[in-house]
Amino acid sequence: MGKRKISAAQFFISMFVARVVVTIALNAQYTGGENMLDNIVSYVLAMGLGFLIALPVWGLHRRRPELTIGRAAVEDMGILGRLLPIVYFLYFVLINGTSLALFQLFLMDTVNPAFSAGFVAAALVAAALYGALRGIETVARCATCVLVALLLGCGLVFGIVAGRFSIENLEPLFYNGFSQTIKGTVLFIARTSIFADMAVLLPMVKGRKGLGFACWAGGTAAFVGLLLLLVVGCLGRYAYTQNFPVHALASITQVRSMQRLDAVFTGVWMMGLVVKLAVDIYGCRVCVSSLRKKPGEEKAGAWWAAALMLALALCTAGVPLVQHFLLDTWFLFFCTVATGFALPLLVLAADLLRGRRDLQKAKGEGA
Amino acid sequence: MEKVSEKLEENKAYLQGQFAKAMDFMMREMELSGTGAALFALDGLVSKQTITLSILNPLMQAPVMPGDGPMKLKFIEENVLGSMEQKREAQMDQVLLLLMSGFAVLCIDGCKEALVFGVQGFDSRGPEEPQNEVMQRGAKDGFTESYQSNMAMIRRRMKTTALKFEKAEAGSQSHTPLAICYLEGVASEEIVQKVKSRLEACGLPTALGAGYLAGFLERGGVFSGVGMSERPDVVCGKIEEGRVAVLVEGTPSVLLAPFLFVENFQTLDDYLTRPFYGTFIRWLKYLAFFLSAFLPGLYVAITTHHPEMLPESLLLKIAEAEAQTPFPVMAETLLLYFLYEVLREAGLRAPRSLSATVSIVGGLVVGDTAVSAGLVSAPSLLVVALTAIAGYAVPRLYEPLSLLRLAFLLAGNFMGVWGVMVGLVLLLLNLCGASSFGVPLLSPVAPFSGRLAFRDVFARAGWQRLGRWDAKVQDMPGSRELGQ
Repeated sequence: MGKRKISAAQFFISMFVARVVVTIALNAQYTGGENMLDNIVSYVLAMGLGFLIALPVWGLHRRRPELTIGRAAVEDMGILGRLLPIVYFLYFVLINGTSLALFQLFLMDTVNPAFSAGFVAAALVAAALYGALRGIETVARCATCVLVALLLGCGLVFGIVAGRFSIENLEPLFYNGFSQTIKGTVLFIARTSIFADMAVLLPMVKGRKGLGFACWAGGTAAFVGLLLLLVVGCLGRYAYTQNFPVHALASITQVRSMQRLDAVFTGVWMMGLVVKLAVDIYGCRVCVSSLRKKPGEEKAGAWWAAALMLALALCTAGVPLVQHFLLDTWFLFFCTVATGFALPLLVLAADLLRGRRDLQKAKGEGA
Repeated sequence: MEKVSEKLEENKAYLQGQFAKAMDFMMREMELSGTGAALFALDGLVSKQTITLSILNPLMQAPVMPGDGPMKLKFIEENVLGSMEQKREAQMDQVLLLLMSGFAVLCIDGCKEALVFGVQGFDSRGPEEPQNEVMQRGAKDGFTESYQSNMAMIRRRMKTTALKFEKAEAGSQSHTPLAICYLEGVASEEIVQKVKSRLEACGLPTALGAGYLAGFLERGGVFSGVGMSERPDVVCGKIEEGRVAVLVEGTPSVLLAPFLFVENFQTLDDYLTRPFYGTFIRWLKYLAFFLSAFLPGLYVAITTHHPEMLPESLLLKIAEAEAQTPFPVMAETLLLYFLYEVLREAGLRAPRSLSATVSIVGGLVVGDTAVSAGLVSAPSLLVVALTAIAGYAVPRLYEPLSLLRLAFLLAGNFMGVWGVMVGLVLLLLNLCGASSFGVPLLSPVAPFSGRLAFRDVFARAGWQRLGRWDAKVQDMPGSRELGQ
């Protein structure tokens, strides 16, 4: 583990797919207002802030390109550093458990299938676990294929619903003030696991990572912008009443013989979700391998991560109190900023200190 | 007895003991200028005419031979017999092996070595058009059971000294001869070594066909990383791209490694037609693959869980047909699918004179009667029939497809379109994670290389571009040192 590397393009494609999956679950309740157009600005702001949040991760990666944040923490911070991989492990479980829970809620609220939504969630986790156990290369290659399916699926839906776009449905930007924009920015950052993913997985990535990150930010901004524009332009005020407006957008599509494409759209969402889960279960594997004593333990870590994600998702979807707490935007924002910014900054500081200490020691020995 | 004995009687006794109760064992005793000698061979493996004319006649008509046994052996070797394949052998196990490979063995009293001659003369089938790889415009000859003839067929098409045939063997009991064929300087040395080491590690007692060895060259998975071909022109094309071919004695199929997923869709005819038509055919095959794998699953999923996806008129027709049958769509499709597989197997195994009857009774009588009796619906029958026909457009994938469509059928029944999607992701993960001799199975699609993908995957480029040797299999994106 760790010897095989994926290209920057593959890594950021996986991240793009993960981002799209999260965006599909957006609604007016989470974005904090009725004018979803403001959230296009929110996303651009979130991406701008994202560059700042990612700075410690980049700094650490530049200093220790071959080490994951967990390994660097163990080396630089001793026993205290051993807590870090555990924190990242739990963060991945949390962020994916909540994503899976949102999907389950969608199934239960909107689709109401004849079979258990938990069964679907279990199938998704099983598929993701299989991918994570096969390795990051497998997941990254699969993400490329899923991206094609996703772009084709979204392209089809967007292309068809574009005919229903009405400029009259659009409201002026910041019509209700800036609060929705700020809330949206917080939401977009809160639900982005890319910073933690980069902290853990960047050592397994080769190629032009900076360019990849910039393309990811630009690409997701374009996708989210187009999606929100279509949701508002095609659905109008109807979008604000929907728990899953993007699905509502898909369900009004009609291609002559095929009457509704929402099942296909949901399928594409599921495929993306598998990629997101698989990347982060692999991240959990890496976290466990930073602590491992015996080879093979990291595979057990993947199994544990998958089981915990599923349990958390089932719990979140089934218990309103847990749902209220775990899906709270500020709680997720805190977790994301802590793992994406604060902890990498801490490890970077520890690494700089250690480097200075080593240098002084070397000078002392030389004298 | 490890070595050939100096005493002729001991050699005779040993060989007769080894071949006791073997009526094909032949021994011809003679006297060569006062020294006892014996010629051994196995009936059916050797040409008696060649033995008589090229060995026995010259020996009998030879002038008086000088000296003792060893001197006589030397004299015979240098002056009497002029066989092309002729050598001395001192090890008895080698003598036995050569006897069973169609050699004749001459033992002379007083000699510690035997003289062996290649006089093989067993019957073999001539090259015929392969039944499993029919081409519209390709050559009409196919490999035979003799690996030597197969080597000649390849050599005839590739007159270059870079073409190598390395000898190997498989099966501790059968000692099946193999030839590892590749183009030196084009094939990866690592891949050649890996093929050799995996074949050496094969612990089979008998290797009766190429399929026996394929399992030792790859590591499981839904799709195979080792290909097979019965056509010399196809094998030459693959060798030219850096692949290694393994010719196995006794089988007309040649193994090819590494073998990528996209190769399942490539046929020689694609390259013998105009590029645009080759591309069109290629896309038809991709479509056929998807139809064959997913159609039954999607049909069951949509009719059972997502009828809203169908246009009203079609939905009503299906509902009307289903209302007249006693089984749910899933059971009906499953039943028809199994029935089709049984018919296929019966048609394949039945004597040729009966296979037409099986097809007519199975396809027309049973199918038509089942629909008219209201046991199965016409849409379900149509779906299964379409699936079967589509599967034959990519015959190399028939085995994985037959199981995949069953899996998707079950997934579609239990979880609707989403079950099929989960299955698709699992299949993608399996494909993306698989590799053949270090080359990703899905290459050059994932990892993606636009240059290669639009050369011979999504489009079939013209020969001006294909003619350049810039697509060696070991240079595919994502290929690495042979870890697996």
